[in-house]
Amino acid sequence: MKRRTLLAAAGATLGLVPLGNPIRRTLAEEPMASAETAYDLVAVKNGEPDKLLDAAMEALGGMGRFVRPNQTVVVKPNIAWDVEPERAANTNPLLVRRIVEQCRAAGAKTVYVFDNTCDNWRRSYKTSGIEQAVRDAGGTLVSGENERYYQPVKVGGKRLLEAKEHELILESDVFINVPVLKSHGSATLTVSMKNLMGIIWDRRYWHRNDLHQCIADFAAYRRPDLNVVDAYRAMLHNGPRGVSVRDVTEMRSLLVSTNMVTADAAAARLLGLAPDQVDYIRLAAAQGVGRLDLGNLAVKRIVL
Amino acid sequence: MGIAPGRRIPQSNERADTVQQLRLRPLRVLVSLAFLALTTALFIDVQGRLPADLRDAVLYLQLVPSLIRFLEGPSWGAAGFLLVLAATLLFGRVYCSSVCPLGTLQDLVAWVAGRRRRNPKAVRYRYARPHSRLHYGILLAALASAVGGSLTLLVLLDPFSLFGRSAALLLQPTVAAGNNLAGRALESWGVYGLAPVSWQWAGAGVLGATAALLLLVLILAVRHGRLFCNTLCPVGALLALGSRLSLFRIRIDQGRCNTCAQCSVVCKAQCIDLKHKRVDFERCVACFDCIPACPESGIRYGIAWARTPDPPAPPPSRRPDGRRRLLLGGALAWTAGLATRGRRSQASPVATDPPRNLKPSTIPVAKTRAVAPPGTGSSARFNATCTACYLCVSACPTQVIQPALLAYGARGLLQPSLDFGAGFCTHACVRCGEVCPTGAIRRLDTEAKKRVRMGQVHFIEDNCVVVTDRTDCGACAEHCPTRAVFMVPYREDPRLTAPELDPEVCVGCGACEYACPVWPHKAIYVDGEEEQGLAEAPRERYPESPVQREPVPDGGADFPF
Repeated sequence: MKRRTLLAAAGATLGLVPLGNPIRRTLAEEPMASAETAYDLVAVKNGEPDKLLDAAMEALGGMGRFVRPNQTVVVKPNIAWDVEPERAANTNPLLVRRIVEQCRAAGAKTVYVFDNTCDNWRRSYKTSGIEQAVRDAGGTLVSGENERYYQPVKVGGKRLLEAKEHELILESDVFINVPVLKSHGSATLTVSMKNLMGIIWDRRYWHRNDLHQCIADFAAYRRPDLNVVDAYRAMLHNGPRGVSVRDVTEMRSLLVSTNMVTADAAAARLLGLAPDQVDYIRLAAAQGVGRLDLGNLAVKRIVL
Repeated sequence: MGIAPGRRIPQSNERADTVQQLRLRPLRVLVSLAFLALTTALFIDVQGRLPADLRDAVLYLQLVPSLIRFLEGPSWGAAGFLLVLAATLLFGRVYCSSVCPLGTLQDLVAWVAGRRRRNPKAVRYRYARPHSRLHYGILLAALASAVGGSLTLLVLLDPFSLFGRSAALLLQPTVAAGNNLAGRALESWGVYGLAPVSWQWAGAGVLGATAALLLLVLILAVRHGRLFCNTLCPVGALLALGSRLSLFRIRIDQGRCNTCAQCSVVCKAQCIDLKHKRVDFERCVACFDCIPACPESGIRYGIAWARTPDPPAPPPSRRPDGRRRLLLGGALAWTAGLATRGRRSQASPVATDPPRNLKPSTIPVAKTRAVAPPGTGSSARFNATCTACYLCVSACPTQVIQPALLAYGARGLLQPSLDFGAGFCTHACVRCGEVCPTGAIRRLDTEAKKRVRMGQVHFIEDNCVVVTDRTDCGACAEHCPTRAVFMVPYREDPRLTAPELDPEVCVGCGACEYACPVWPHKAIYVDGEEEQGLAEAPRERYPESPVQREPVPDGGADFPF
């Protein structure tokens, strides 16, 4: 190994290992700081993923509205699969990179990124391009593939009474949910609410106990501070994993909302669906998690 | 070990040569420890950080793996065993004391045990008769059964594989647990730098068999030095044949030897026969311990044509070797006993979770065959090429490759198989083929691997939660990398989607079985096949779906909302 490579590697390792003992938050279900925003939904199109984000966050008053200096942030993209960015089975790496950069620029002490992947986590992190993106942006990658990270929480839903949730979600000051828009064989769509299946341990429980109701139950319990829906490429068919790039269409779009139901309702529209055609969106809206009547909401539309 | 007290200082013209001779042992110790450390590292690399070149270099000289690889397809990359054979013809059994990890482990354990004795200076070893017929008999039996398609004897006795298996089953979980404890400690300080790794102990049968065999080898090592290598080890037997012709040999200078026995006392091969002042070089493992032990500089390593011929070997003892024969007989009977046992039908996978789906599934999964790692060809080929070293087991990123006792019946003793309760085979992963020392798991490029059919999917509709509970699930189809399982509107209730199979594109990766959530019996599973075939390429399938192919924004606006 060349000296320069070694130094770079050492630097990268140090970058991944923030020193010091952060004051750990208790494991109570305290709601996270939620910023008041001018719009219920910001939709942007016709741009590269990083530019789309810049435009959306500018409309919302900047990342500083959500991330205060010295806070810890957890970013949860979809990194479920060991496939390349072009297949759009995972969140776009450039978008993740830009989010981490914006959080860092807003003064975040640490920006954690993780997912409880479906394929092997190391392979998924690497192949998705997200590992490199997070390293470049100065974020901290954490594994989601070990039960020890997951702490028992009371969800208290209709079918989902309890779950085990990743400690970074419980302990971080800010939670940014970054799903990718995909069709889904059984859930019809996967967007913000479905993406939260990657912050809990036992997904099988959800699958055998009325998947849609469990998704809605958990959405009522855990509300991210910000939801950034990656619709740069959207998987129209054979989701959520897809078999080839032909499952994917380029939309070059992005949705941002503090509310998951609103974000998912708009995402459904992007794929030509009425929001209430998706059971869990309908159930979550009925449980008061958020509104899907987009016509009555403050929506900012930006075309780059 | 320095120069023994009272060593006769040689004359000046000999001095340089003596210094050279005394360097042999430390050099051997250094090389052997390096090989032991590196080989061990391969099997406990829980974070997967070791470079591939280093791995290939360490494995290159391992005799049995290299030989098996070469026999399937001769190449320079598989010619390591030829180097070992050539080295043996030149220098004697240097493999046994330098390259063989089990050899060095025996030396290490015997050395520690020797130092812990009440009187470390007490006589450690003395000359023992050879057990040539037993030893060569085992070599012959191992070769004969290998030709017949069963590696059972090599699986049990190949030193590299026995060492690897021990490291993978006993040491690797310990290292992984240590890694996780250390990682947790760091994380309690907010440092997420050392990711946890999954690990589990192997089943009692595999663990017990491996631990018992290792223990036997180590007890023999403490009590009788390299008795295993000179009595049971087939590699030792093969190299012993080669060392009969070696150019360089250990020999006793008949003029200098005063029969003080210092050399014989340290000889772990127990092959220095003082009565006849002769070294039984077939059994000598070229450890060079005897050279510095001799106070007269009377035992030396050099080219054999310069020597005075050794006195003729003593006639072999006619005494029947009752106890050992009994041991061997028992071992053979055990192997034969295994051979008569039928193919094990795998127990149906039963989830350990409490019964949370409303209606527990009722139909047990009935598997008929084990699923071998990708790229093994037929199970007959796998049985004939895998020595169960378990490097694939310790390297597999998803832990789907698991140790097994008799997954393939008696012919496949200890050979690993895929366990879809532990994980599933990642579609684009070719790691097991990269690490496999024998080539039993072929090195495949990613695109070829994606088409290898390891097994075949089966669906038990009446176990499926869509049918029993009438709720959506889709975990199987979600995980399927090829759409061999996909969701279609359920015929009894079109608002739901139910799994449908397209078996021709199934690669048998087991993702569906792993993901299937129903309790206690899975609704979808993968069964092994005799021959790993070629799956068809995933189809361009766009099933009926509420999602339109080309969504159009309504009202001509920029956004459909």
